[in-house]
Amino acid sequence: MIFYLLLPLFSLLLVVLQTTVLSLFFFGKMGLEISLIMVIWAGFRMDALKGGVLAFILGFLLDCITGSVTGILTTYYVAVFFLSRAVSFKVYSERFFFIMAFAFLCAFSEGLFVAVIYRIFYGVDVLEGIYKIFLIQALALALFSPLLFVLFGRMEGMLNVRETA
Amino acid sequence: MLIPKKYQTITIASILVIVSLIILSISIQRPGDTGIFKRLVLEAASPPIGAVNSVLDTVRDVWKRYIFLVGLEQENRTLKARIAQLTNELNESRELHLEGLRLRELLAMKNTLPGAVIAARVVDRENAYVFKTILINKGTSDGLRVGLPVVSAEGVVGRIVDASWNVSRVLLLTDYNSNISARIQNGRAEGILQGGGAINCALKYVERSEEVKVGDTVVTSGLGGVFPGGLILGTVSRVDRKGSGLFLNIDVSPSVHFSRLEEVLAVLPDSEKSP
Repeated sequence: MIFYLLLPLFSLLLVVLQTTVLSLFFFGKMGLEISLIMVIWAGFRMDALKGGVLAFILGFLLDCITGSVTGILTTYYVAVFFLSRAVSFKVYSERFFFIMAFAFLCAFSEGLFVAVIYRIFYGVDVLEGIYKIFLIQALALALFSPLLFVLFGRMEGMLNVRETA
Repeated sequence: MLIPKKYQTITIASILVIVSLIILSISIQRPGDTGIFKRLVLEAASPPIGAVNSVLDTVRDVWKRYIFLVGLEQENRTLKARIAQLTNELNESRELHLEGLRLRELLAMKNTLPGAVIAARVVDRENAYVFKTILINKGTSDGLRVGLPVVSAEGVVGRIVDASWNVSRVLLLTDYNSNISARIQNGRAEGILQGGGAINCALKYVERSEEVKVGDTVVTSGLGGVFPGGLILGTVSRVDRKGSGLFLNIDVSPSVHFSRLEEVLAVLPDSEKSP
């Protein structure tokens, strides 16, 4: 229960940290989306309900704070969580190289997903000018993902996220 | 839970995806509508974002100030180097100006001399207690030779005692070995000006009956054939009439400041022209 009480506050702080401090690392040109790594990590480690709610809340908060079309990242994060969970049953997901590759795919796919939504519903081609940024951002996130996995692992007990189902 | 464990994941996934898609479709259909949940999130996120940004702004300001100070230090260093360079240039200009003035005086002096002259620069000074000489940068290849008188704009300097190809040594009139035929300019009393070493020279062999007083100008007499007549040697600084000798004891202060001497003229005899 404590997990669900702490979750909104923790998610809010994580998103605030991501949109303020971490954006400085790349001089505000792009961000380091650690919330996505958190969702992937949750997919590997948490049960469906806790992880699903975490992904939903993180996505929704990001949608609200970043000013994107509400629901885009919510949908994507929920999808990534369940995809990660499905993958974790099939492969050994503790290897750093696999984590990096998977994080890269998820991060780059996020850019494509956003571009597709904007293309379909608004007729705007956002991918044209910024696909390189998506690519670099995905690479940077992939590089940091093992470190973030270790960090989130340390916080596992604190957040009481052990699979209970 | 009420749902069988086997279907829990698929059920939760379906619910969350459907809810997400509903939110997305509502958002797309009503682009201008902020919505209550979004407002709540924005209100909740605003204080921590403001606090973090405030801290970041402070850090950024401190960093910018630091960078500014680093730039200021660099600029300061550059300006100091520039000041040093300009000071050097200014000193060079002053030196050139002063050299010009001295050379002008020398030129004026040259016009008063009977013979041709050769200008030379002082390159060294021997300022021991006894030996009073200077080294000049002209020698026999320039037409100089031993015995030639050397003068400056202020008066007589001495005579050449050693002449090499490109340098010559000049015995100053303050050296103990220097003896120059001299005369009191006003009274026409004649004597020999002998070097006194440290500061003053002594005018010897002036008879007691001569009218000599402090401040009188002493010039070369022209006798002896080394120095042309009428060149300033110095001024009388002391006249001693006491004692029982035949001659007066007269001290003479040289007109030339030997420690400040930089350019001199070597005077050739009347019959010679400068090379």
